[in-house]
Amino acid sequence: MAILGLSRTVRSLAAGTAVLAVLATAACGGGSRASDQEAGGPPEREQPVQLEVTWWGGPARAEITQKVLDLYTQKHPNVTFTTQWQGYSGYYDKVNTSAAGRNAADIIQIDNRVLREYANKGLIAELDPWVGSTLQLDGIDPKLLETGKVDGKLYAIPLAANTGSFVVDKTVVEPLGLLPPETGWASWEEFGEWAARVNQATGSQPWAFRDESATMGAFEFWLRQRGKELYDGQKPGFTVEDATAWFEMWATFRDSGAASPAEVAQPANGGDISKNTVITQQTAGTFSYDNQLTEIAKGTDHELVLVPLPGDQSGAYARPSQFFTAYARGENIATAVDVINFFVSDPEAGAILGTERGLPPNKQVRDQIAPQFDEQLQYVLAFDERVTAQAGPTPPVPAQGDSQVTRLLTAAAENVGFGRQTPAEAAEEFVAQVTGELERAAS
Amino acid sequence: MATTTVAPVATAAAAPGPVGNNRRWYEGATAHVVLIALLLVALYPIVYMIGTSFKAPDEILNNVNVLPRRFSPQNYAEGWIGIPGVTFGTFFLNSAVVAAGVVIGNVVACSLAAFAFARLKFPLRGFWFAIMIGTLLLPHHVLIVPQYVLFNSLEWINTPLPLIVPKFLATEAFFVFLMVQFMRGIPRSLDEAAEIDGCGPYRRFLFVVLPLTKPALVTTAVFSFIWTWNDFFTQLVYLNDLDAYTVPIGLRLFLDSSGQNAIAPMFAMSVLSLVPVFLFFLVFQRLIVDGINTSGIKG
Amino acid sequence: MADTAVRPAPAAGTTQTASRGRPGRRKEAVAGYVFLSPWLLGLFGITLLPMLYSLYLSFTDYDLLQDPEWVGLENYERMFTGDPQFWNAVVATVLFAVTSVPLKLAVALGVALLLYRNRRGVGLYRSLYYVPSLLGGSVAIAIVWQTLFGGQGAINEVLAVFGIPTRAWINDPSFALGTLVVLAAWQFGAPMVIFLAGLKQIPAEMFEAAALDGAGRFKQFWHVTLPLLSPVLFFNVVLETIAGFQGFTAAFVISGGTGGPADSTLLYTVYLYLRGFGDFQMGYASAMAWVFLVALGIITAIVFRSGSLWVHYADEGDR
Repeated sequence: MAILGLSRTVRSLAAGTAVLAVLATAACGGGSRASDQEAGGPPEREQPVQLEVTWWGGPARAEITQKVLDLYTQKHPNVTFTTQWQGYSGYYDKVNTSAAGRNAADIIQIDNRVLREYANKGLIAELDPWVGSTLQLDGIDPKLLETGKVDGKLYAIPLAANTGSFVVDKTVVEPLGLLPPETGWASWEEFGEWAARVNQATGSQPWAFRDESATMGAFEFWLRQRGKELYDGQKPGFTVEDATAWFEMWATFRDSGAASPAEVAQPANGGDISKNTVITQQTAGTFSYDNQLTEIAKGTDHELVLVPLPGDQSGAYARPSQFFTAYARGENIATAVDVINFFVSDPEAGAILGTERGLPPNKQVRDQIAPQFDEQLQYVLAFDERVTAQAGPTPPVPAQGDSQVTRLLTAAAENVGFGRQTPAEAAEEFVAQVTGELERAAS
Repeated sequence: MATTTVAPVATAAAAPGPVGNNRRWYEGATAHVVLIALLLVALYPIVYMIGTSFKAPDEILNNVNVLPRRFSPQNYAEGWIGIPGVTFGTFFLNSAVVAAGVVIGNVVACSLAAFAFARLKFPLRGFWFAIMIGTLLLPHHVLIVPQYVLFNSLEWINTPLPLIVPKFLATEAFFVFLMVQFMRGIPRSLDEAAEIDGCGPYRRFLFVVLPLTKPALVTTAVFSFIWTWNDFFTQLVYLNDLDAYTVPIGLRLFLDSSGQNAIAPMFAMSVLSLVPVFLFFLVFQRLIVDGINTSGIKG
Repeated sequence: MADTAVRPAPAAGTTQTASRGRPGRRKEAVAGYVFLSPWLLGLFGITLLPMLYSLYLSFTDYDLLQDPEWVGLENYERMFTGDPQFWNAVVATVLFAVTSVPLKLAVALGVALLLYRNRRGVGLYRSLYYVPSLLGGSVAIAIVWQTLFGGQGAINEVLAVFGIPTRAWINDPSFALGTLVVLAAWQFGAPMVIFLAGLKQIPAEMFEAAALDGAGRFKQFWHVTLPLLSPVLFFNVVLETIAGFQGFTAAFVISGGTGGPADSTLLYTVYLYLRGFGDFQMGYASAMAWVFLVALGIITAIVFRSGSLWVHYADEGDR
């Protein structure tokens, strides 16, 4: 029955009689329904408030997020929640369409790929007015908090931090005597040699490592090792030569058997955890953000280890894995902000959330709850702290249009992987298209 | 394909009748073999789907047989509650609401328009009819953006209204066309007689033409149901809220977000999602096939 | 334009009636418009005006959040000169349509011919063969396809029997579209039913005459069956072509909403959706929609034109 809120239906039908008139004025946008909410005001504690929360993720995340929301309702019975969640691919399509319908969720999980765009379009609320009152952010690493700011204004609260890693299937490689050292490989070449040896030993059953040439996180790490960034303002921060070298490196890996053929890698290019090749046991290793170990481990009975990406760790950084943001047209922004604060500052909530989304961003919470973590979470925490201790500077918020760039990298990598283009051809087209898309996105 | 040009020389001496029969029998058997073989190929994916829906999770990747080794009906229970926060019951209910609305809308609105086109004389009838045929060929993707803007400004997103209300405005030209064809076949003398008895156009529609149009109405209802039940695009665009999801959208959520061990439950829900359509088909088989013939509707 | 051609079944041509009295005629005219009013409201409110609005949008930059901004022909210019993905989409769509439509119709016709000659059990066969058509457009079948043709899918086991090398069919840009074509052709039930109906209308004397002339099976098919069936074939070609260019669900679901791998299954409608509802570029999506409309109009017109070359209408008095 949820589909037919009766009063809403009646109201809508009345509106429907004005079909033609509305059509003529539709171009004028929804008008300026001036917000009667005071920015920085206190959360609602008396009147019933219903908030909608949306995120991407798997069932494990859905379960714990629901638990934290229930906990909040328990503490503030006037606030109740509805939820929407799905896999990563297609997630932003849904957020965009509902935002266009001016009925996006009150609390929206995003990553930094769309932060700038959403802030510029006024889709998410500026949170500075609540800092110090509703929002208690003292415990959050300032470097991490900075990643939620666009042009100096705070729009997004990091829910968790993570960093890139290679997940390796211990159950497969240990019997071969090829378990990589905890500190990883000294260089990408060394990694390639290791993977080729693994592949020889397994006879490609499974493949040693997934072809990660389409993976933005790996590409970014590698660029940063070369002293580049993904973006230079609203332009690509890398050249055709960089991209060519990247595609060539993976071509070499594929040739030596170090990396899987593109057809094995392709299904996971969309970013859905269900297609992860370690879960499907098609490869003995894959790129993953360290926090995802929890979710991946749920999908396989094999034992897994985290290994730093090859080479020096200047490419790494404490990456905000996800943010919570408040919808600028939300029912009750102040209360939504309070809920967000609950997620990052409440120790009880922190204990439930664990490291499923990433490491708790709040140092105080983290220290308080770390002892209760199970072995796996402790392991992830230790790995993350080890890597981020050597990390380079935090990159600026990605350019507007980043989601299109992700799509273009995937297409370019697939074109090379399936032999439809040479690395140089693909790189040239990729850089040209990225430049064009970013220009357009900013206009 | 089955060119059985083998001349029955050996039996040439026999009487003409048996020869013909013999040859026909031979050909018939060959054709049946080919037809059954083709049928197995054609139905394989469906049988595979049903078989997989009963496989135990660990069989999914290593048992490519159609039949499960261990019969695991619990996949259905698991799939039903496989998406936290909501059950497939919600999706089925939502799909049913949408489908019912569409069926009623199409039957009512299309029969009104069809009656006008088939039975009434009014200025510009030919012109409007030509336009109606034109909209038959109009790809609906062309309209999705502006219609989205329209329904968006009416605050209809996440309700079944954008899926149902247009049907009450006879936008499904296929059915208008189907009913026009059908109504033209009803003898004119019937409503002329009614007219002499003093029946106006409205009563003629209600009491003379509509009852005789019943087969076309049922065909419309059946196809409306099947199409709506299987529709993905419009539902994908207009429904964003988990609680408003219909079965196809819910299935896709399953596909995106579930792990490897959820494949069997996902297949179970896929099977379940097709059951209503299949039941409709079983009951209305004859009508569906005739409907295709009279109007060229594609399934 | 398609007034007469879209109707294969004989339409009783008794639309003309004796003239009636003036008041009756006026009353009928009013009634006509009363009956037509929902349709007219829909035509203008939900079809024509939105179309005009999308034409306007196609000249703007519009993200649904801010007001549309007039950009002139920029969207069109970008489409044709600055967007390689657009051309990938065009190529994928054309490839899909020109392979899936003939394949589907060939299978449909083949099965219809077999069924036509074997009346025993024809009803049962017909129903069973129709089942893929019935279910094929659903998300459920797309999910099955994704699993069947995946790297670990059952199709590989079947093909291995014939010595065909295994691969991840849906993940390889050289084959992904092919799996969609197979899926489309698999749904041959609807055109088959139409062919079957058409075949039944061919008078048996025609075949007897041909047989007396000593025509073989193939000759008979080529010179008798096909010409007599051509109106029905034409009708199927029109329907399937229009449908073929509009494929969406399977491509979208199987590629995980990306049109991948390497844009090989990026059907036009999928790309339109991604631009409009993924990237928020409603202006660009509208421009794409109009180009699609015009292109489809031209293609339909060409198909109709070509019809006069190969469609043989028997005398009009068939019944």
